[in-house]
Amino acid sequence: MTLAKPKIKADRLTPVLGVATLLLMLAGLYIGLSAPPDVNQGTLVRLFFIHVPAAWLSYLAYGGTGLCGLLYLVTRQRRFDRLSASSAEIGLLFTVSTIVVGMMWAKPTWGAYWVWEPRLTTTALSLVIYGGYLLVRSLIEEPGRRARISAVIGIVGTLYIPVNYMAVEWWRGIHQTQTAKLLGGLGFAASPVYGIALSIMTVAFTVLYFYLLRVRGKIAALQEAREEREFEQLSGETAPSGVVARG
Amino acid sequence: MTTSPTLLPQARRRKRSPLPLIAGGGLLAALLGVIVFGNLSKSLEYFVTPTEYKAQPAQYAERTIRLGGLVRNAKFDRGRLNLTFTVTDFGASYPVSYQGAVSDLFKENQGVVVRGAFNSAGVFQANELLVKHSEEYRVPTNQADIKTMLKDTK
Repeated sequence: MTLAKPKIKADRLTPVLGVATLLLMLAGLYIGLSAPPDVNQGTLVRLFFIHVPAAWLSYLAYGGTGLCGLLYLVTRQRRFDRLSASSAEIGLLFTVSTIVVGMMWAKPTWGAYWVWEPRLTTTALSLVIYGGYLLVRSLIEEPGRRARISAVIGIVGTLYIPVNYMAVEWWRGIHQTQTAKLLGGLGFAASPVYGIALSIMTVAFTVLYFYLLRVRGKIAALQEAREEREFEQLSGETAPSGVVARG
Repeated sequence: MTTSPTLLPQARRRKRSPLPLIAGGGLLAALLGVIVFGNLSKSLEYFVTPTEYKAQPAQYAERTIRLGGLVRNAKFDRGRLNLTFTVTDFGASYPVSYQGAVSDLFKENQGVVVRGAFNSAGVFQANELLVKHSEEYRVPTNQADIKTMLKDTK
């Protein structure tokens, strides 16, 4: 076996997802920025159209980490491990985005950038959980072991999503409760035009997640192929080729 | 060159049951659940209401606490940045004194959380003032809304 070249298939879906994200975001931004300001907060309400979809994306990504971890444990296909790790990175990125946008919103409304109230504290917890997830991954050399352990962390970590979502209901805090009510009867406690902007942005961020996941997954696959190549070069002909670099 | 390269692929092929790991993880999750829903829920409450304070003032005596409720009778001295108001939850109300910057959203009947302690005169000396806002956002629908908005943004 010569150099294990990663097969480069023509990937049409990823650029389509990227373009769709861009168009949806432009539409969402247009509606969001042209919507009239809120009666109490004025133009600050527009942060709502970024803050909430970013938080949604982080939930989606952490859910993806758990799901791909589970799929790895069931199927033992390495690609699920790669997707699981990629998803955790995306989740962290968007948790940080949510926090940054939230801070910009909190200072002029609440009067402080950060308060240790339940919603914010549990959000900070996710940085610990998924930062730890990536740390553990970086500490384990052996791919199979790394995949198994991180899959378990990813699955357990999914508990963060309901706890963080319900934090505003379960405990007293500063953070306002959900505007888009999902549990105990659907409802949207804002003007319809805000709902349209929020919906479009939420769809845009959802598509963005799948776009980023595919891009990051592809990079991870290339990284892994390179590692395998280096490994095979090191071990010479004794290595059983074709056992590990699959999936 | 002969020992370690042959060992590595063997280590990779090693297969073990993931069951103990899953059981351990499940146990951890359950433990976390108990902590979160059981013991922690009390200390996670961010503030006490005036009614709760009234019921057990000894519990909070000589301690920095957060008091949360609605704003009544707000008086703001712009020159000295001195703000006095009453915080109430309709069961009990306490006078609050605060000095410093105030959020634009602060107004009568707004939910606030103040951090501080009661002084000997029974006035709550706050050194931190956080203004809560509702999850309801709405565009101005009538002339009065637009007028108040213009006034607020000035």
